[in-house]
Amino acid sequence: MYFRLRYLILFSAFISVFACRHKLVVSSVSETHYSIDQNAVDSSLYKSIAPYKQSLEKEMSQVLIQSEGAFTKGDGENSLGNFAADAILFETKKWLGKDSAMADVVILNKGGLRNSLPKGNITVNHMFELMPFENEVVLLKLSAEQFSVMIHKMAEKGAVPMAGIRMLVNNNTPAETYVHGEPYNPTKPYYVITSDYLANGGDSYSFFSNPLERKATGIKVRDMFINYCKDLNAAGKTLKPYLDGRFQTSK
Amino acid sequence: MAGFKHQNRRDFLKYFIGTSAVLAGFPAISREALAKSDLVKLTILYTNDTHSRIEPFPDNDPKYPNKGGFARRAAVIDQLRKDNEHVLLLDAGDIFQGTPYFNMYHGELEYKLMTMMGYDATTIGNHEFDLGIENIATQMPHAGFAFVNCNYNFTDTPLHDKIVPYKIFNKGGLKIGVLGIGIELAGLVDKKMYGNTLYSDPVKSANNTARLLKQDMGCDYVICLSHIGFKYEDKKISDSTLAPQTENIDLIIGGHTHTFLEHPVKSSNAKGEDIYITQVGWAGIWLGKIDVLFSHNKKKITHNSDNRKI
Repeated sequence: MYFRLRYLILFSAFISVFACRHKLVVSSVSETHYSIDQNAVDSSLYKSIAPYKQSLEKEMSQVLIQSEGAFTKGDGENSLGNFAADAILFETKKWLGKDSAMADVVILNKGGLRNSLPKGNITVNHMFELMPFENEVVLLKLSAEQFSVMIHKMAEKGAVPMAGIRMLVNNNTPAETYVHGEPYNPTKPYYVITSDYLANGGDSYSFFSNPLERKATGIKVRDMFINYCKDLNAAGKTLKPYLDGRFQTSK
Repeated sequence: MAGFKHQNRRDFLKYFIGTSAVLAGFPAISREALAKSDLVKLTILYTNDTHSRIEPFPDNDPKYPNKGGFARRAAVIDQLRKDNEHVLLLDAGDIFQGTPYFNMYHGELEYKLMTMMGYDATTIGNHEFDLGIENIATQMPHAGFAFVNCNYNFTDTPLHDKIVPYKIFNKGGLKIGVLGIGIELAGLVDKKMYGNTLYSDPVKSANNTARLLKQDMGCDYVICLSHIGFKYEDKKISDSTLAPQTENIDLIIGGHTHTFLEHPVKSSNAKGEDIYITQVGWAGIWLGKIDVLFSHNKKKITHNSDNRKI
């Protein structure tokens, strides 16, 4: 009897807790938010961050290559734009391997390059400052019409970072255009390498939105810059700012 | 006798709130007063799109000088845990990507620090895939909190046994159901990165999961951690278009669009009941706080607090 009663009590308790649980109702809701700008820190988190911060700073200050001069942005063809576009062409060809010949032209956006490069030690940190965004390099096959729209847009915009292409511009329209050193063929599709930002229509590059083909490299623009510096350094080279007349305007 | 005592408590509370409100504006209900009442207060703290912002923005940052920082957020959370008994700490995704900490440590530090802060749950944002789906699985052992998502099918991926559609938390006698939804990945994230993750309609998935939580599992309150974005100009599904189509969800903590909502937005669900949508920008610049006061009675009570009543 005692046991039965105990089981009965247990069973009732079970029922009341699980089956007949009385739901609570919301009687009021209130809200606020805290701006995280006070000086107080949680010391255990602060201590946990410290070793990561130290080795990160070490990594960021790692010297990639020596530069013989400063790379700067400017109107018209400029050394920073040439560095960026040449680096992407070189590294994309490397990524393409035996298909490297399919890489025709690199186009980037001037606004995407956020800082100049100094003379002397070029570090990982410089590359983060140059390219803080996480954009990736993509390969687009443009139809002849799309490519034509693109070069007209480039002529209007005036000297965006470019490689694999040379242009003479007259009154904001392309007068002469060369790809791979040969006159451009207006009936032929071309492969254009750019960032996913532009490929997705950023910076009003809407003509990139329906390419004949789109291939993602999965490699970040910044990582290509870093790898380019490493590759040149490994080959015993330095960075030299230069202009080669790839974008000219006729007076 | 019990009934009489009960009545007294409520009278005391009414008196307490009324008097304090007059004398001191909108003070908080003290823990003592709450303990004596039949009310239970749940404090929901939340972030979204913290994006590897381990350290505060530098002093010379043009937009957010000296704002954010994990160790400083933790200090605020520490204090709020002292002041509030039943706390849930939630995140709406995009923990990864944004500073060299992520490039170098692949999310390990973010997960470790969030575990130290006592996060209860997060959901999967699109940037979680930035180093591939395998990397999420690799970093997960550093995370002592739940990953909830109910509209991605991870069956054929390394996350198949690591992400749950929902999790139920028991706080102060309350059952709180937390579910998660994510954005369509195709076109936004490289296929190579999300692998065989399959996306399905967040409205259907959220409603099915919320019904299970509220109707079958007896949850008192259901929170949706959403990484689909607050609002779009086109017809793309967002928290704003999701909310009116839902049932059984009380609160959407959103992310993705980095929207700083000064106050949560009140909306009506498919049955005309209240549902709130909130989002606190990004980078851990704000920590959001929502207090929900629960009662055993259906009667609405007046409640003033340090928070703004919504």
